Amino acid sequence: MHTPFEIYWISLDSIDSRDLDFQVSSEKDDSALKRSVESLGLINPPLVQEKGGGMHRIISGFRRVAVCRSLDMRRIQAMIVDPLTPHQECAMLAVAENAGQRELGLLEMSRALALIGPGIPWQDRVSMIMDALFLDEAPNQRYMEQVESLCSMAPEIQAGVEDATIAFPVALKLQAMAPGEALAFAEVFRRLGLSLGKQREILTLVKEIAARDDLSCKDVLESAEISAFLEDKDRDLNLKSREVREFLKQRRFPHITKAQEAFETEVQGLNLPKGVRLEPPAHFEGQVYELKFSFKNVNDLIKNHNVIIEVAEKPGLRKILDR
Amino acid sequence: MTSTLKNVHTLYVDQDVRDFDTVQPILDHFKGVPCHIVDGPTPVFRRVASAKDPISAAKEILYLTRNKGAFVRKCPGTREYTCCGYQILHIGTFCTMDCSYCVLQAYFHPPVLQFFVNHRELFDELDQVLDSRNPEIRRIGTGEFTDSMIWEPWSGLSHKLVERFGRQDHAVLELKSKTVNIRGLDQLDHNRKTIMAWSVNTPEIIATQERNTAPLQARLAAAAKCEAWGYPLAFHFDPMVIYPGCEQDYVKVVEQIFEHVSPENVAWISLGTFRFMPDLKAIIETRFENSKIVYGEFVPGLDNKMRYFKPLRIKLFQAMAAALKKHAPQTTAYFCMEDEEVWRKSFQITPDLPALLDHSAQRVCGIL
Repeated sequence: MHTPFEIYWISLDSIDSRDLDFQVSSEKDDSALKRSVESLGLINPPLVQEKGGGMHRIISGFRRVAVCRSLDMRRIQAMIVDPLTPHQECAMLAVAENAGQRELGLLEMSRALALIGPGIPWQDRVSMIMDALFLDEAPNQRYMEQVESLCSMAPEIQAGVEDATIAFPVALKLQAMAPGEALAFAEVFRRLGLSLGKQREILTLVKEIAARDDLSCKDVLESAEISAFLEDKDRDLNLKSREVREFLKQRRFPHITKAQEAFETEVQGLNLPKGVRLEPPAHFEGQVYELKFSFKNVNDLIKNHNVIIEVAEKPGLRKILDR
Repeated sequence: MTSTLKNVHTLYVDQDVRDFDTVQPILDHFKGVPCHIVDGPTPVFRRVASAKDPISAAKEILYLTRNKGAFVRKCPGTREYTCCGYQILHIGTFCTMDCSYCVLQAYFHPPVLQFFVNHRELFDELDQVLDSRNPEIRRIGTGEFTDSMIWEPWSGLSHKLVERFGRQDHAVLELKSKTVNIRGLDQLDHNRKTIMAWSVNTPEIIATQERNTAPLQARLAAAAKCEAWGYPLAFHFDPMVIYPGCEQDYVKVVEQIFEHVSPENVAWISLGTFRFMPDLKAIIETRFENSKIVYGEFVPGLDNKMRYFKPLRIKLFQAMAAALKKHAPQTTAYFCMEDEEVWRKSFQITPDLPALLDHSAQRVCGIL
């Protein structure tokens, strides 16, 4: 494939910026580009194609055109692709132009993949992807298809992935849900800014509570308690996140949470010596408790030699062990 | 409606066993069902594994083969919990019924509905085991890796086993089922050495989690018939599922049991709450979309299986212990895979479980 083009001066009014068919870029902050165009002019002309009626569609250079418009320029130089150039070739040009300038973000990659040979069998498509993205090796098909799906997700989820408040693996899970459910999760994740692990934890807890209680995930996420945590202006994000997760854990495992709290209260009541900890059997399943205390050296250890007897004689200990 | 191999749509027969006298009656029964002679299990595994839902597919493909290992083997208990010392008679694997909680879904990779047809070897081994009068082998059952009775009536194996056990006085055979396939059992010389056992659950759990199994009333009616034919009985509340109102429901099942049968003919009643290998959770979520059973309060057990939080188990067991004490005070009740704490807090004892059950078999079944 070798697509001919020539450079001409064209009027900005002849460029249809609403035609987004070939848009790959998603970068929002144009201030640096604007400064550059202001001081040096437009060094790299955008790539456009005549679309009839004297109008042009942008293949690559959406931001450059927008910046020129914001600077009240009337005419710019553009690389004009032959109007008979097939759509797929233009798409390849659009992707290659973007991929050649910078490393594409996940959403940009998604748009790029959606442009390259959609509907074509993978074995035919993979070489086009390698060419357009300048790849030396064939990419993983499953991962590429997952990335491609991103640009067809709800805008709120796309925005979440883009601003890193929704982890991509979580976005894939949201995509599989009913739209209302997915958006409810997206809203909470975008407001809390959680790590992947914590997003997964919330996803599981909410789905399981909803399934158990015949509710929708939206019902659980929009409960009065969670709304109150999210709306509270006095709490920072970390605290909000912890409270939401603790609330969900409590709702999902009410008896286990209560037992843990009761154990902690009873242990506090023991007034254990400083640095000594009593730990229950894991998940209260086994029967073996652990008594832990720390020491720095032999003298320290000797000083603590009465710890076990002291703890064993605590009046509340038997109640804890016979729980 | 109990499903007992009616849905089998393909048969595979191992080349090695095609001429066994146990095979032809089975082929006659499945006349018209496509049958493939194979050299080993690989084509069967491939066929099952390539299905969209291998577990459902495996319930419709019957593989007749030889058991190349031991027929009598120890039940795979774990040392962290008290084990009953049961012996498994390995007659086949998997099941045609479809219970959401069934461990066999995750136990075999892939699951295969296979029936072992080398019965001559089975009975030779059984003869040796029974003749040895090994004191550690007093209770043998076929219902661990499969349901004991789905293979009836076409296999006739259970009937032969009942009569074999009837000719000795050292051990009992336990046939455990969720079916009501008891036809012909009245004609057998069982000599009370076969215990007819049913897994029971609440009507709610049977209706929502046990696809293609017999309803509770039908199971209890079958148990009553077996009792009338002189068979000792057993009931297994396993897995018990915790849900709102479950205690009353399970207690009601206890009452229903003893409305149908007499406590003195019940060799034992086991209790075990739902526990599962972690891998099973995703299988249940996928295959039983409406099932809520994996959303209980589970914690990792000492055997790495997920179990209900211990105080919840104990609470349910205490309610059952009270009901059993009321309706069948002399009947042996035991826990399947629970620790001393659960025994102590529910039954106020920490027994030598194998000895307790052996004693019960002596009392109810007359083994020596």
